[in-house]
Amino acid sequence: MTKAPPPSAPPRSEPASTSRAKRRSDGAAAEAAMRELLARIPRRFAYADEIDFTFRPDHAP
Amino acid sequence: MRLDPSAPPLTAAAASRALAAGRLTAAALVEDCLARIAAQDGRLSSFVLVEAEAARRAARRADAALKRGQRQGPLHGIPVALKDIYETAGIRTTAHSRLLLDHVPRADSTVAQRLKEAGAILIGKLATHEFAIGGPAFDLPFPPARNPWDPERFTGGSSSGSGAAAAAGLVPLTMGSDTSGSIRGPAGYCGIAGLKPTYGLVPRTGVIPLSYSLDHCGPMCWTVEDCALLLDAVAGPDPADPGSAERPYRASRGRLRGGIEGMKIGVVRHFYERDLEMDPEAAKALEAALAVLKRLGAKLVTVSLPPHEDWDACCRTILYAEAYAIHERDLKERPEQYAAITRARLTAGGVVSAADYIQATRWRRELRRRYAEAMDGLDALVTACTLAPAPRIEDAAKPPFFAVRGRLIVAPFNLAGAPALSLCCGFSESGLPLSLQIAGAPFADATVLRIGHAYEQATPWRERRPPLAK
Repeated sequence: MTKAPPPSAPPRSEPASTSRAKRRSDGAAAEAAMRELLARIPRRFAYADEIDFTFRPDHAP
Repeated sequence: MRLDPSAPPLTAAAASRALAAGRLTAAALVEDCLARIAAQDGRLSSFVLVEAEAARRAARRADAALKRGQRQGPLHGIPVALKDIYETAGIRTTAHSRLLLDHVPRADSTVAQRLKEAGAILIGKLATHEFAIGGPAFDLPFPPARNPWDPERFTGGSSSGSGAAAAAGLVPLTMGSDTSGSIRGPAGYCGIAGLKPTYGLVPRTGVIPLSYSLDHCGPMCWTVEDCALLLDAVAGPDPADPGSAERPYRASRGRLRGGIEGMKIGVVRHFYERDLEMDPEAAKALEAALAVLKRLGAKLVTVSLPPHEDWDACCRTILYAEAYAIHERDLKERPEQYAAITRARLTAGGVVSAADYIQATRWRRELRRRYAEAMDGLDALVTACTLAPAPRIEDAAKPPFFAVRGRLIVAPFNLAGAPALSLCCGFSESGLPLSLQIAGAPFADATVLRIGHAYEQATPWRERRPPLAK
């Protein structure tokens, strides 16, 4: 295995004091946005609307 | 034999012809790539690993085989680089993450294996957004890749290194992956050609997964022809990938020529005129591109699909639920190891319930049906890809890390499993690339590439390289 070249700029790590609170607020904002998307999902389907777990384009929809 | 470092970089197709004719050696080609990487990648950070000595050894073997008359195919002796989610035997594969810094796979991904068999030379591993889902981040072991048209700009993601390296001409062939735009976004912002092939066409075995039912592997290169060359080497059934299509693959490159006279192409205007907001410069470039297609003999008709918001919501529900399932344990046990942006996005998947996921998969079935109906009688669809020139990288790295409204038109083609090609359709006044997108019916990859090739041949955009590439 060849070693990677050193990064051109040192990574900025999160300060330990802020990381937990920031993690919570970033996560909460992302979850709120996700809930907005989930609200768009139609909830009425007929029995014939199969679940499509094995998504394959060579199997007709 | 040396290549002139001040000349424009060679495309894979041109290099392949020169190698076959004995006008070029693989050793010279590899040295040219290594010199360009050494000169430019300090500013671009597109590579996370350069395999210089291994590439030189492979080039010597390729040249010796050529002297013996043993050419493995059109990719013989051509350098290639892989997004760092493609596993490579004995070569570290990190997914740009602290969690996989010591991950050295024992086996090659199927794509890496097929490229070796085709005679291509692996020159290194490319930057990605962490696990192909994060955004540009400064709290990771490697810096984010930067856009060669302006290093203060975002490359798009997640195949960020592939977009930057191909645009700068550091390597002629790169592979990316696309779960919701990760090939086409960087292709658009970096001004290259990027194909998300039909779902299941390119094997994913040995690729670090993000979303089992939405992940696609595909080529990202300076030209459409190079995308076709690369696709031909890696596509085809793979029994080890449960999503792999069973039908045999028919090569695309030989079907690029012939033009588009008489083709019927649907234009999905509402995606960028009503559903999402498009920058006026980008809209003008797209209209000009449509005029070119018309001039080449295509018949354009306006087509309607369900609103973009529906595709996007369905796609992201499935994507984030599947991604959360993959990362749940690490998110709970060592969340601090992820970049803040990756962690926030993955965390969002935790709020998708089983009912949400099931309904979304049913919705996908319905949306695919609508896509098939819209495609009936058409050869292809055209719409926008990126909606504006690349934003500044510092802005793209700022919260919020999960936007309700998408910035790209990409999700419909991931959900439909349909081939979709992003290619350059001009430049903004500030000199940044603009893009259009050509999509087709599943397995019509060759048609999509043919239209893209015809457009590319009819326009001057491939004559202009980023300032750094000159």
